[in-house]
Amino acid sequence: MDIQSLLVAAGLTIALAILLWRVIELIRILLQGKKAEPLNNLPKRIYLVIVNVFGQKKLLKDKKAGIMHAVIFWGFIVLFFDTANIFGTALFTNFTFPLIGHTIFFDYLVLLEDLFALFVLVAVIYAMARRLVIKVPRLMLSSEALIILVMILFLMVTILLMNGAHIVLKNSYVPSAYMPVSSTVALALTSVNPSTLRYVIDISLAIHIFILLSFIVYVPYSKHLHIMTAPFNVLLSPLSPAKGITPAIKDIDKQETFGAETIEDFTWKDYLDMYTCTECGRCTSSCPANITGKLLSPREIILDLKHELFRQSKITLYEKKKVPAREVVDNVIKEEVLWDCTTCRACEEACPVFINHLPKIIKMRQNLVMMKGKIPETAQLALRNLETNYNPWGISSESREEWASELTVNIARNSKKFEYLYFAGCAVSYDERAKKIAQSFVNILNKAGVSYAILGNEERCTGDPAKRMGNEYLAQTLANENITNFNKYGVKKIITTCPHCFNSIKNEYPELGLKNVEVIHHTEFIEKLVHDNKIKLKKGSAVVTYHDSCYLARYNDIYKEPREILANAGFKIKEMERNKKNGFCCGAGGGRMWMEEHKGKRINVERSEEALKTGASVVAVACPYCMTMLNDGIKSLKGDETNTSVKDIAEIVSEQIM
Amino acid sequence: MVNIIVCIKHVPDTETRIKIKEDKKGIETTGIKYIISPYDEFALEEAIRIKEKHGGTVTAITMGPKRADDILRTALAVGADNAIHILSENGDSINTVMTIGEVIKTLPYDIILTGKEAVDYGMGVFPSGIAEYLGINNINNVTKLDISNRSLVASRQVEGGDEIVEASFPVVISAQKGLNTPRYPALPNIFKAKKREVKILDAKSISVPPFISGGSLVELSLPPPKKGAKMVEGQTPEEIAAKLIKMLKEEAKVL
Repeated sequence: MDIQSLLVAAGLTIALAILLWRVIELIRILLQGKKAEPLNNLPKRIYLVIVNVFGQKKLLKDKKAGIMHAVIFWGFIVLFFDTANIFGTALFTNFTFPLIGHTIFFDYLVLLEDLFALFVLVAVIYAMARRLVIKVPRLMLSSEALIILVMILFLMVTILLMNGAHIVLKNSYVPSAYMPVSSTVALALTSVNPSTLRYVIDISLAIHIFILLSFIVYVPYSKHLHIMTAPFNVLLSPLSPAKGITPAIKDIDKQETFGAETIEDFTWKDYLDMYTCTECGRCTSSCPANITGKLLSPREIILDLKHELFRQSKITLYEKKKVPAREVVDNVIKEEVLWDCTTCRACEEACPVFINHLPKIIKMRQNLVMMKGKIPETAQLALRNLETNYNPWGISSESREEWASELTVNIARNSKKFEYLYFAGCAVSYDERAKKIAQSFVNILNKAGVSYAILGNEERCTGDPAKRMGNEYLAQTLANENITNFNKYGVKKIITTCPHCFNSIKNEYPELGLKNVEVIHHTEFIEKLVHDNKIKLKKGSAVVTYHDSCYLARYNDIYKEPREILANAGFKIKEMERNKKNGFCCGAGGGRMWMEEHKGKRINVERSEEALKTGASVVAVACPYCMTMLNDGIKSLKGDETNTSVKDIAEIVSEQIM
Repeated sequence: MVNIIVCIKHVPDTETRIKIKEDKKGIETTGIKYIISPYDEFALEEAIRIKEKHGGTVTAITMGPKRADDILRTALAVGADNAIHILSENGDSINTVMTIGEVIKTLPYDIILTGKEAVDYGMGVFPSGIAEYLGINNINNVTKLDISNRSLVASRQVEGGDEIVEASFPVVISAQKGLNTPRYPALPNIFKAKKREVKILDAKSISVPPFISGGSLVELSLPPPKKGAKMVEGQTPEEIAAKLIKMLKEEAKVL
């Protein structure tokens, strides 16, 4: 072994040792996390990794950044072989790849490497320009990003220089036809004398190897750690992430602590999320609270927790004096920030590496509310109302069924058998405007001859707002009362007109013991009635825009049905700029309906402006909260006399029914 | 160190749809959701705040049927040290004042806090009644309270403004809305409160001086159902104004 090989061998050993040390350290920190949800359905997980890691699916939603990233990512895989070849050649004489050797496959591999060296070079220059010249708002100008980009830039330049020089010196046993990019570089180098070229090769090789070794050491200590953790984060993510926001707390009345008070109260999966954040800012730039000027930034939540994790774990792992972990709220994250969240899931939808921001926010809220009784005053009132009257409005539970008093509606306690339970929910039972949704929907059910009943005064809030405001105990109490009633009446099919009720019963009740019940949102149900010709609709002609409810769309993937109903009724749908998976929240989710909104622009106004911009005369909604928020928003923009109306799909159908 | 006694009452939730019994002497209690009377809740919160700031003990007392145990658990959950439940089905105000008064006499006390009235019957007899029975100072309708060495300064609502009153211990304070915002009890404290001891006394075993009640219940009736608002319509503002004046004179008879 010559001195050069020895140096490379020593450098590689040191770099790999540091890498190994860091990996062990990161795993030790992970092992300190609390238990996370159990992992199931491996095939689906592997599929998600293939599509989202190797296929870069979520990244490609942002076309420019996505293509750039995908090129660098695929380049990494392709050029890994180049790296292996470089180290192999540096360490061993007559190195060839096992299996491939000097066959034609090696030539193809070289072709691919050659092309990707150029692609990556272009992508890296574009990435630098995004930060330095174009200044894309969501990107933080961090030295970490620039260091890595410069490293990759030099890696590509040195590859092309070495290959170019080798071609000129006729050192390469791969035909130059397989190296079109390097051949072009070679053209530029033909007039350089051979000894200089040999010099260029040696220097380039030294720089290349030095950067590679630095890379191995630098990556796990920087935000580029995501290179190592992202595939695992995608693989290990909860499969129906925020559908249930946070898993139900088991045996809740036997617990002594609730939620996350310090960084040590988060799960290992929360930690892995923190490792994986690459600061890209897609979450924050899609967050309705952030967009309208609130303090909340989902990215900062993850990054602040990440820094706290590394700060505290240094103490726990290495220091003799064990300083206990501090409270995260107010030391790391401002209390106000946690109450800004509407739980709309835009952040999680945007995150290319499957970080779940919501469970962290909810766990911190749980600690504030259940352990410390800290909650905004109006939200506290809503919780108290839920405790005494089972609805956040605080109106008597004895008047819950009054909306139906003048209609033909079966009430479960008075009726024998019924096929469907229409779970009306609080909003349509108590809010004067929203009552019309329930009244319209039962009109449709009656016209279609559906066998159904309501729970009436026995109905309770599903627990959705309580759970999201951090009072899981109250949420479970309410849910259990509903489940008892479902069982009492042998309910097998439930229809809701509220996406929040829908999501709770469908995705959160099974954990609490509800079994074998089909849960249907009224848009799905009406769509089926129309499709099966159970109801016939007159053809309307108005231009309508449809506002996606977060809990229907992002949470439960229901985009098609409401639009199909509208199209079937002859309406022209004009989409808002942000729609379907990228829809923009109305501002009422996550308990925000019962909290003040003083800072910045009101979220409902932002959304109402977008709706008005379509020029549609009807803003169709499928959620009573969205109805209230958009009604208020549009009225505040256009006054009471506006000719743009907000209507629920059920109201529209009820008007068009023949 | 301040010894504080808080008197609280279990009342039907303010949203309850009250149904009157057939004999018209009481209300149907089945299906009613009971709460701590809201003014008593301000009193309880204030007691806990005084204790947190100045030290001392808070004893919560209620008089009522078994179900009233609930609010004593709430009191313990938010920070009361002791709870006393005087079991009684009797709702007479004077009897309540004297029975609770006899129990308080057996305890050390500096401040007695209670709501300005209970939201069920709304008699408002208790605060001044208990002060009179014990022969101590009394400030009612308090919206602000500052404690200093063995005395306090209270701000109380009077018609059109505030009155600042100073009093030395012992003193009865009745709480008005605005005194504070009651806290939201922490869940582990609620769990713990369920297992804490509540001292139970039977009202019948507490002897009170003979008394003649100030009155007797004749009949309960519900207020007439609210009628919807009447819109005054017309072509011109003058016409509408004229119609309004006419309605105020002839229909409402207020002018």
